[in-house]
Amino acid sequence: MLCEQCHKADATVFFKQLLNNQVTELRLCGDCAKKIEVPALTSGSPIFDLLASLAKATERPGKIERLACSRCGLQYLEFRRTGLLGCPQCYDSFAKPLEELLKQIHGKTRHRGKMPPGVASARSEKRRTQETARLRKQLETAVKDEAFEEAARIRDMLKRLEK
Amino acid sequence: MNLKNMLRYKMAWARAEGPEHGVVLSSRVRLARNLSEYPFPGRATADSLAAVLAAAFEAAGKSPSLSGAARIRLADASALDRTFLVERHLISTKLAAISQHRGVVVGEAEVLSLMVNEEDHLRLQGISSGLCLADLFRRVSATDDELSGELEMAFHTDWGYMTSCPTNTGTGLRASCLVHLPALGLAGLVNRVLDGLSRLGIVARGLYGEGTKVMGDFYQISNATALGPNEGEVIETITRVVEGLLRRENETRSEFVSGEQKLRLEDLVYRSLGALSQARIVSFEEAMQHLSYIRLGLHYGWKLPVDLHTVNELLVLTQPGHVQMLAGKELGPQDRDFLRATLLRRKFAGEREAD
Repeated sequence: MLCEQCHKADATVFFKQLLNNQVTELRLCGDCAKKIEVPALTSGSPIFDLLASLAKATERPGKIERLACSRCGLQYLEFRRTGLLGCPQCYDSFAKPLEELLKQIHGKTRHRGKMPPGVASARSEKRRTQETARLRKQLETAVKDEAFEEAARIRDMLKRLEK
Repeated sequence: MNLKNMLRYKMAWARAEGPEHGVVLSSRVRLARNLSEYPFPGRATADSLAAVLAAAFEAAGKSPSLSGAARIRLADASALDRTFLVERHLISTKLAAISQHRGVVVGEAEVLSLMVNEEDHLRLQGISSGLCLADLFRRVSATDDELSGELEMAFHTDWGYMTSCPTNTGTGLRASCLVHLPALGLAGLVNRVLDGLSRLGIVARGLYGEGTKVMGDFYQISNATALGPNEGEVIETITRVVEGLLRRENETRSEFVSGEQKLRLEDLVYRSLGALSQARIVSFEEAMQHLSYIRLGLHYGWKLPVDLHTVNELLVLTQPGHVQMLAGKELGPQDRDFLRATLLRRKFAGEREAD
């Protein structure tokens, strides 16, 4: 079998590539195979295409394109070109278009996985405070309504929570 | 910097001993993390890259699960050293290309490793033999907790871990398995089987991950998204999918045991044996293809001069960087192909290395 590129030498290398779930096969000679480099990460990668199509679909030209990150100075246009954000603050600076982008990429916009230990404990503390406030209100209402059995139940729950 | 010593050590992931290692060579789990006080590496100054590298190395030094780990500054490593680290799946091609203020921490048996200042400040990885994603995630997550005790990670209330590329935002998790599907390949079924995966948010890639070639019927199966499902759910999905592929591959292998198909398969496997035990010039791609068929032959228990462990080891050792590391110097492609053929001949024909 001859090389599909130069049609001169024998094909010795079978080159298979999976892009967007399309497998392309090439039969090449050693020399031509060497010339075929691994495609660059940006061009043709799913995120790159997505950003490009998104730009067409959702943006009113002007406002979003002038956005820049308040901390690292990254221009939104540059982010769209490279697909890479500049710093954690970019997530707030570009919050609006980013929410849409995250939805397109992942289909979801809420993280449900693990979090740093500090965030996790702060969050459960906050939840406890909110829950305590809610129960106190219920307790007040119960006492006012003279529903003492209910009030006792809520008081026990509060005790457990504050322990 | 002398990484040649590492040649003597066995990587855990190349051992033929994990669950289902006949089809699933290795499992890999990685978490992308960033330090909240610095810009992402792509937009950071040299000073802040240096600060991140120092902070990461210091945190790794305090992490019990990384005790005794080697901390390698890539600026101190030669181009060959870096290729070698890529081939051992310890750094990415991207990290190998830029070395200043970049680093990698390599744990015991090369199971746990930590890339510093790649696309994200930290890329924590666990890699081991066979289908073992859940177990690996537990280990990687424990190390992540240790590091998070020392470093403040960038985390968004709604969107989770903030990463340089929004495709990793959320868990920052990528879980993947390197699977060997030669029977599905020979039966012409591999595309159909892999095509169905995208609906599950799963992608198949080449040997070294994103944007790399598929060679010798080895595929990386991994999650495509990171936001939404929690880590346990992602691990569970990939594990189920890989179990499905494993079942299909094994079913197809068992259909090849009689008649014309068996003869065709025997011919392929023994041709590969012929090439590997006799050829004088072997490219890496060619070696991969032949080793792939030899692996399949071993599955049927045919009499072959090597075992699965040796084949796995050769898949690593015949890579261009490893061949040069064995030679102790950089070599041109022709010399590499010659040395690779010699190495293979020695293993397959018991021939002594030519002087």
